[in-house]
Amino acid sequence: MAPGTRIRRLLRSPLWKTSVEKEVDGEVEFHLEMRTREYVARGMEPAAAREKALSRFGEIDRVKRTCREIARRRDRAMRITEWTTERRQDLRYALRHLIQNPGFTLIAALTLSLGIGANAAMFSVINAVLIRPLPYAEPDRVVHLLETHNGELSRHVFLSYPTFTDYRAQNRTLVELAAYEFSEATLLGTGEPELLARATVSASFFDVLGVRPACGRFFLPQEGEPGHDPVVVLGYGLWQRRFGGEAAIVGETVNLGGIAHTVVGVVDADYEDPLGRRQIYQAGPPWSNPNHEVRNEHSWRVIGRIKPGVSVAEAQADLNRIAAQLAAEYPDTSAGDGVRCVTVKERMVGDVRPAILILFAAVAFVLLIACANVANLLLSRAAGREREIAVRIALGAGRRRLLGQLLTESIALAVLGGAAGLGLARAATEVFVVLLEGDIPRAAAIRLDGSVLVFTLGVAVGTGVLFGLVPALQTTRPNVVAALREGGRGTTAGPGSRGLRSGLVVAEIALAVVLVIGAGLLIKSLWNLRRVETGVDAEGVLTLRIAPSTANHPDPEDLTALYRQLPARLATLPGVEAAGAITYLPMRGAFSCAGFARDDRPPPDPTAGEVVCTELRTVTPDYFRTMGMVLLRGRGLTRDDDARRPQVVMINEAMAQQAFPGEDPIGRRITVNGVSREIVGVVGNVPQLGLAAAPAMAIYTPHAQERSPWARRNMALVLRTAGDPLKLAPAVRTAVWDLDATIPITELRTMEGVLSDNVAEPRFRTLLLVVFATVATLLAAVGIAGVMACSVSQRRHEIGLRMALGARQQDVVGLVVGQGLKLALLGLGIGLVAAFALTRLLASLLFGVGAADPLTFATVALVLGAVATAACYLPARRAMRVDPITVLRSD
Amino acid sequence: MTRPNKALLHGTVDAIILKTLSWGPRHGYGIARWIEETTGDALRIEDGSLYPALYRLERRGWIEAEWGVSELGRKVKTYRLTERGRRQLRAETAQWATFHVAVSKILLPA
Repeated sequence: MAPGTRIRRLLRSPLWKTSVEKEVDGEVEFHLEMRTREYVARGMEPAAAREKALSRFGEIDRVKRTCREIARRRDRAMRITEWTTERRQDLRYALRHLIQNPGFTLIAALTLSLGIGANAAMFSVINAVLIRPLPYAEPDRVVHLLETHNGELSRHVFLSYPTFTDYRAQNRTLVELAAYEFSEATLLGTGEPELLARATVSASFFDVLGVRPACGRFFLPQEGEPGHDPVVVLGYGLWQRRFGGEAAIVGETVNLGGIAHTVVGVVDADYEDPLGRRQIYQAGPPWSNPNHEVRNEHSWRVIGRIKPGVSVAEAQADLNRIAAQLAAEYPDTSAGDGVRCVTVKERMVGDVRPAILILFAAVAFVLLIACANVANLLLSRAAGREREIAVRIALGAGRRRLLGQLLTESIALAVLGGAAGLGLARAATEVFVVLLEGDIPRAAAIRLDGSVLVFTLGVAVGTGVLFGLVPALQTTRPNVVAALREGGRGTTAGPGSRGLRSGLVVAEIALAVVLVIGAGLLIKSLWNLRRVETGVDAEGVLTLRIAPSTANHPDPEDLTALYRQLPARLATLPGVEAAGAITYLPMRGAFSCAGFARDDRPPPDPTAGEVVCTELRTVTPDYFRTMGMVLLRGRGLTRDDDARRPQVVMINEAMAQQAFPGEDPIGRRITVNGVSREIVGVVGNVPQLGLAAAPAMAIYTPHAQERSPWARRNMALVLRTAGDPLKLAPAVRTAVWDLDATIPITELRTMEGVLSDNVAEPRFRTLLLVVFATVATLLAAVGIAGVMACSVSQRRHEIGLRMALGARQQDVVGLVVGQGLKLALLGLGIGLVAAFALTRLLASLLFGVGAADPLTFATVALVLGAVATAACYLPARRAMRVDPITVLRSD
Repeated sequence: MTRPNKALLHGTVDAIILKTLSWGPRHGYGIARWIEETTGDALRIEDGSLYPALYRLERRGWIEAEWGVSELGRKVKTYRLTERGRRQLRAETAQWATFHVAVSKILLPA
């Protein structure tokens, strides 16, 4: 007997409907009774017979238990088989239905693919950036120690080396700390000299992270001590690209700036640096520079690993304790200083999290709108399926079964749409990686992996239930089912359904309104951002970064000569109007800072928070002219401001206002880095850290007079050119290498490109939100059109009557458009109120525009009103063409 | 009459039950009685082991149960052999035959 027949027999038999207990008990009881009769027939007393029967049976309770257990498993297996058979049947029905209605299936699947695909794409971003743990051992235990001043994160969040050693020695809650400093190193040898992004780290750095090398090993404690031969660990990309990925590199030396460094190992391919991509790591103590031993020379970033069993809060309390001690011991340098303990992941992705989550919410809205559209589609088709439902009822399907069948249809449709959506998502994620790499942390890992697929499946099933449930409930309403059973006509397209469909459209419009307002606010912010005063004229400016080696330019005078000759030489190139140099380009995010003191005032008191770390920039005299910066007061720097002449300095407007309020700073003297300088000029503000930040104080020292070695070696050159800056790139390279062929050139690009990078992330998220808002609006417009079209065909009779009674075509159009506008206005109203409540969540992304900006709200309301009116156009035309005679006759 | 060794019996209970049902559907008590009568009471399945065996056989699809009417006039669970059960019975009978011949060669040499 085939398994199917067996199940059907059992289904028909009422056996499996009895409870398991009764089944077993009844059976055993019958057996006992028969045995008792047996013994009685042989002449025993009934009571004794029963006794004997029981004892012969054995441990009756144990037997019953065993049998019940087996019976339950049997019943469970049967239920599962029954369920799966039903679902298989449902699926067959569903697929057949979908194939027989290709138009409907196509439209619905397409609509759903937009919604589900967008969600899948955004989830891959969330997964890659926010959810995926960092590739460290117990990544939640790895933290940054960020310096704070008076409770707030200080501008630079670095510690000084002595402070770092104190925290390392005195803490009780951290396993280990490691210090880390950015620097650059020139890789020499075969091929072009290459400037590498280097990190100088404590020997314990990789232990704190808890990572493994791809080959070789990491640093030993003694390798980080002063006097030890230099050792390095290579980054994976550098190893592959420059050293062929050969394991033989371990033990060999590489030439960095003329000095041989031994390679001890390579990080593995999955490694993620806590602070940004580094190409090479060197073990090191502080540079042999006395300033690094000074307590208020903040140059080191610090990471640490929290002990197992200790929470971040406990570690923070421990660090606060040490901070208080240090402040008391060294009031001159460390008063008001502290550290904040932040997990590496939080620091890496904390800033982008709001934007990503907001975009995810936006695609959720789009999906809801898509669901509403498909639900409407289903509702409008319900009337046409009455016969089919009637047939199924005749075949014996109950309401529950019908519901199951209809839901299976919806879920199958949703999964179909989801599969198509995955194709969309695939394309989208590839675009994301290209656009976002470098602008958003961890973006390189965005792709459709296992979690994304599982998520998409879950969303598809959920979506199917969401849009399918209400139409299925509608179609299988008990009175409908009963009426169809008796052979009558159902009322599935009745007024109840119409109210539902109008409600769905109103909801769609409200959601679309929220999205469009969000997009509008972001557009306005972007516009404002682009119009921020950069303080420089970036048009036609070419920039590049050079790093002269200590081998070829050992003495300070060599560097002074280099940076006098090189800009002069570059300025003579055809097409170049001016050339200069600066330590860090504006808006590249890098900066150095130092404290300053006015000579005519008492020295600032660190304990009272009067020492402010001010941005320090070293420039050549022609820099300001090259960048088109405005000289506000006094004079600029000249060639005469060299080491033998009086020491001078220029400041920016922000500093003039904040440090010399109400006075003329020209002629005043300030002391920076131990050197007293006279202020000779004031220039305009140029943001260093980004367009959205407020202008900070800045000091410009002339290169020829600057003594700090790290502020005068590696600089960015800027050239003002006529025409396309990049055309001059080869000539510039030749000019530099004519002077010294070992100087590596990096970051050769236009200043406009640098500025544009600053808005890359806001531009991307604005673009994305605009795309989502547009899709949402289109879907909502389709939704309105659909509902209006359905309404028109339902009211044909009424329209025909009106026309017969004298209504003109305009009146009919007015009727339809009026109905549509009523829905639209309701949706607009709800949407505007919802937007008002929700846009405050956007506040962190906005620049120069309030979350409740009336202009944006009003514009969006008008635009969407117009869209809604346009969406009613086609249905209105259909209404116009109703022929009253035909309609009335067919009554 | 010697009582058979319990261990020997254990492995063949399933085959015996299947064979019993091959003569027609019976309820649990009926199966026990039939075995006793057919072997002249030489073989006795413990009442307490019979029912778990029956439930297991049902779970494996070799027998199936339905309601029948008992001698007492009430409804009682009745078992019948399924097609798969028939096949299983054939297999086990063949196995037993082979086993029986082999052991006989050793224990009862001609």
